[in-house]
Amino acid sequence: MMDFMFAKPNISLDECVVTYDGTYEGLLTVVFECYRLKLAPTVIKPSGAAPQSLFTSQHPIEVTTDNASAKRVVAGIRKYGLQQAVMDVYKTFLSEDSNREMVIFGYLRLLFSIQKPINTRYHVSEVLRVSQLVKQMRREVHRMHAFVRFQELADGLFFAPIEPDFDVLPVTYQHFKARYASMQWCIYDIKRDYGVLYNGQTVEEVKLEEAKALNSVQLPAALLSGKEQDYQQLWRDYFNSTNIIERKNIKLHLRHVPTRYWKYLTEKQ
Amino acid sequence: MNERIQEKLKILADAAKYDVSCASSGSDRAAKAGGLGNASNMGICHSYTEDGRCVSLLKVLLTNYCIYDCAYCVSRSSNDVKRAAFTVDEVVELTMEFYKRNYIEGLFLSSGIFKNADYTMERLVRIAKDLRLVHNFNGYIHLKLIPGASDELVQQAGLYADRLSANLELPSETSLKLIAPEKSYAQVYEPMNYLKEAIVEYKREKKLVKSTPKFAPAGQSTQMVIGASPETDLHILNLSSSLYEEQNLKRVYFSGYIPVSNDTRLPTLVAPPLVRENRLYQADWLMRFYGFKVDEIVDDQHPHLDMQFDPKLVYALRNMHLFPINLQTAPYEMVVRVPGIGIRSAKKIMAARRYTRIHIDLLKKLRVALNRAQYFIDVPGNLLLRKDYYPELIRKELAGETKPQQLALFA
Ligand code: SF4
Repeated sequence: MMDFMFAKPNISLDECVVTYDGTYEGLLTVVFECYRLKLAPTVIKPSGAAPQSLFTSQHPIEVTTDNASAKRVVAGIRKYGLQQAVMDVYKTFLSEDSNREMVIFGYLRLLFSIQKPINTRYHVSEVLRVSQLVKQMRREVHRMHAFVRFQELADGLFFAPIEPDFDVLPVTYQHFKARYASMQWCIYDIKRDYGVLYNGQTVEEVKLEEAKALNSVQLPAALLSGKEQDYQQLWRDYFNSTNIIERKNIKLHLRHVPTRYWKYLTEKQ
Repeated sequence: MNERIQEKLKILADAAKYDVSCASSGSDRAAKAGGLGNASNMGICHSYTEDGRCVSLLKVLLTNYCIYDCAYCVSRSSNDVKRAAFTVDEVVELTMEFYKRNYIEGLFLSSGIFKNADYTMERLVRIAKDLRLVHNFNGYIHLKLIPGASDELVQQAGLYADRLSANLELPSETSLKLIAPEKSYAQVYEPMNYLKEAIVEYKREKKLVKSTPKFAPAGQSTQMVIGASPETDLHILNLSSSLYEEQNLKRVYFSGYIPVSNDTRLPTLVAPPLVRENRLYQADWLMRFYGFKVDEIVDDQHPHLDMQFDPKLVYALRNMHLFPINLQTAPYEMVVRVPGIGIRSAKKIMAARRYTRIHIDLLKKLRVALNRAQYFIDVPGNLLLRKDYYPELIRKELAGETKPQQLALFA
């Protein structure tokens, strides 16, 4: 059973549009089905993403997400591309790039035909694109590691709202879990309206009704613990004291912290 | 608590800011159950000052009271500044609370010399010890070794800190004697040597007995002030290369002298020598990561680094006979020597050329800085490579496009 999914799909000259539910498992199921049915899709889109007529005159093939199929594709990626390919493909998906589905499909088609890691074949456009998107993701993840600021709430929970450029939370929270193991915290993506809550033992994905009211990553003072504003003030003082006027170099400063990240920084408020 | 702490923090952060080392990398302190924090090998800058320096650690002095009178230092005893001193608990609390909010990777603690060296060092050690043992803190700790502190205290410091540093302060002992008469190189080399031995010893033991505690896992660093004394770049780079090779230092920091006093022992500068400082870091980088030797960067004929161009470009211009490089066949060591090709691009080129012919279009896609590289590489599609390029012409062409204000390490 395992092997048929790696047979080359028939290259069909017809346009073939495949739609899925927009989840990662959904996309992996699309890959599985394309191998099973020997399809060569020209467009893969979340259902309802755009009016159909833009793509084709044909009726799209709707793929229903199946976790077992998705798992088998992941196993295939790991078998030939090792853990790095598993992560690279996942991060490419999380990048929310408008063409991510076809990039991933092209990447996997090459991986499954060569059957060993392809991540350095930069002359292949999908491989190069994956490496660029992974790099973009890595940067954003690194920025979240750096710029996320926890604010202590009245009940003792450390809360950090974020609005990252890409959907980085699934590959970001592990860092905080290792670092803040003895604290209770929550990092919440207010743009995508979901968060990760750590209760001192385990993490879980959460959707908070209250978060709907947040329109900035800085929390209103009424929610904060008594000490919180003191420490924020001390940190601001510290930050201001570390400047060396003779060295002022705003251009360099902006290269390190583009203005769109300032909203996170307590010291910049 | 606040107003008093606020005042102290302002004074003691302000006095500590001239120490340029900020790295929080190179350690591997894993999180412990029930503990707080870890030290990642990568190091994270949580913010940047308006001068573009990384803010990674809470960098403060325990106190700026000092019995010494080093001319280059704001805290020198003869200087008329506001003085303050933290208590052990205050530093511990600030570190913990800042760390919990993800402001910092840890603590960088230094101090003026209060009473005497051991009295001061003992307090620095106590703070590190409290953080580790009482508060279960596993973040990064960098302690400054107070010149003249006893071996026992240095040894204890190693048990709780990730990194230790003893500052050479100036690039030669003659200059040190002139500017900081109470100090000597012996005071610095002594703990440095002691630590070097101890680090090796603990490592050896750790291989045999797993429970051996970590000892200064991020090693030692040092710092020297540049531009306050007459040493050449050749002298400075030879010194730093010997510190890497013989003292096993992890980092040597250069700090462009910022006039903090009009002491007659010091030169009057219009502006701090920031370009020179940056060039020294670039040279240091070439030695540590690109396989360059000191004499390939500076020598008796060129004892100073070029201020207009970075040392890698200058090396290429001085060694035109080694170029152009054939990127399809050249060994890695030469590929990284091409101006405009960094370590990452070099590795990508090495990987990609196994499957494909390197073409100028691929280099563009890999984001090689072709404006510089084009003069030094032989690849299909490189129309700009002409036989009649000579160093002066390349300099002229590149001068047209360099932005002198930009001080990145390598573009
Ligand atoms: S001993 Fe240290 S703090 Fe004291 S004056 Fe010299 S450099 Fe400054």
